[in-house]
Amino acid sequence: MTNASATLDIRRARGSVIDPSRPLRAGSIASALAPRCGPIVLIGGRLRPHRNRCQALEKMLCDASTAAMLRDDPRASPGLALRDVPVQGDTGMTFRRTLRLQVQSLTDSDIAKVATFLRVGRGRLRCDWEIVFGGELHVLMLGDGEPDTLVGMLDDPLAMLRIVDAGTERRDAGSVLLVRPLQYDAFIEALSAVEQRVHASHGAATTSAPADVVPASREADAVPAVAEAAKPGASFRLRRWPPAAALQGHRYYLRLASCLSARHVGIDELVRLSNVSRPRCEEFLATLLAQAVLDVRPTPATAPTAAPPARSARSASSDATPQAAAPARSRPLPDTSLFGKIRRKLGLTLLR
Amino acid sequence: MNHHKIVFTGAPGAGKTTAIAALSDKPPVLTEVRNTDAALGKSHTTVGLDFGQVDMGDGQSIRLFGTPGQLRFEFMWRIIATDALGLVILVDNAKPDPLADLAIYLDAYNELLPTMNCAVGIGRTLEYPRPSVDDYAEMLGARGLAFPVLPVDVRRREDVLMLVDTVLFQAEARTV
Repeated sequence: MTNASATLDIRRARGSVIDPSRPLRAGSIASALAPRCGPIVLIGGRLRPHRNRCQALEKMLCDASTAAMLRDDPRASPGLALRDVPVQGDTGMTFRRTLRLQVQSLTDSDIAKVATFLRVGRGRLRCDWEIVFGGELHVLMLGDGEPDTLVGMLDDPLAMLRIVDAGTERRDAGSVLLVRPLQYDAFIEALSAVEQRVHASHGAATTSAPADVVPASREADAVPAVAEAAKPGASFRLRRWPPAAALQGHRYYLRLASCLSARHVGIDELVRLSNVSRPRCEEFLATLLAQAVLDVRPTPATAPTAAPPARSARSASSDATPQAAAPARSRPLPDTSLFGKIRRKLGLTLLR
Repeated sequence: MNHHKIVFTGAPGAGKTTAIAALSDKPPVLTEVRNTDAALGKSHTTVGLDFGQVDMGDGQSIRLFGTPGQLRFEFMWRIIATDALGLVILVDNAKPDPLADLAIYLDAYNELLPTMNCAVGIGRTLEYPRPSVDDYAEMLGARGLAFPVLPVDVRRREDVLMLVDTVLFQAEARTV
């Protein structure tokens, strides 16, 4: 792979190179915007020194690819994207969180633009963004005229974006207004603001309690440790309640931590109790291991239990584990346990 | 057993009565009298217990109990909490020494806590950010306790529900 330490190489899959040390010209990337050219790869993972240049390139790519896409087929993807590829030994890559952008009542054209913006703007954003149409969300994006709540949603999203037609006189407290036609910079800046809030909350905790917060690299290092610790029979219990920053990674972390606070729980049991997907559980356990707040017991705490009945109202979450659904039924059984009844009565199922 | 019990405890003014009112199907039964202790800084205080109920519709119900906050009624705290499904300890972070307030309740329930499903709700953390939620967790950890510690506004039903949810997950984990 090309050594990226001296210069930043922006090249197409076919190999043509844009020299970042020279001014960017529209003509120099025009060939890269051909409909079937494939992704544009940014080699080296060294975006930061060339931030302005990359943002300019993103904008040009986005404008051109969006225009091409809308001209041909609003649903089509032109396959253009900036991808950050690390070279061997490059330590510039950082841990990226995935945030979920739920779109509601947007036109196909708007959705296609959003998808393109996210793809092209990936290098400018600190997190990976996923477009979803239901379930768990971090940011809610609404078409004009839609109510700002969703049925069954009690949790506030981190932010609410609303697309309005130009000239619309609308003032929404708590919403970020984006004007049609959707602009790349405005959209990416809105998401960047959300990311800053996420990172700021994490960073604040880092400042106030440095000993409690684990850098992303340490967290990543803990994943193999979890794999080792999660061998059959291993069980986990909290030594103490985790630092608040460790619980902010995902809305279900509170649920997982609660299960782990009562007794030693194996990972399969944790998946079943919480109805959270196994990868998510492993990720959380890795976080807790890195924080040194987890007691790991290598021998089985309890004998394996029989497959549980599926639980109601949990299937709405994309993290709902497939194992929790009764395999022979198309619809989950209602949770008839005492706890299921209590949660239903209190409306706690809506919080899940 | 058709009736289950969740107990809200904590210092005077921590929000026990408000939390119960946020969940109860009917207006809670209160035993509040005019407060004569100026140090409490409120006009009325609970001297017996607060009681609310969530009817689950099949002959089962969740009974919500609030303990009297004042230390002189300490003898009632454990009586009320015996055989409870869960215990919620509320702390007012605006108090001069809220960590000490929590310590009083941890000591009082010391014998019950190892097997109790319990959560700690810290109120008014926005106006009074210190001690932090992590400070409380550290304090609990020093006692070998790993209960959920959450910032709450007991006037918000969702916040109270979040506390109850953590208690239910503990209870569910213990009953497997």
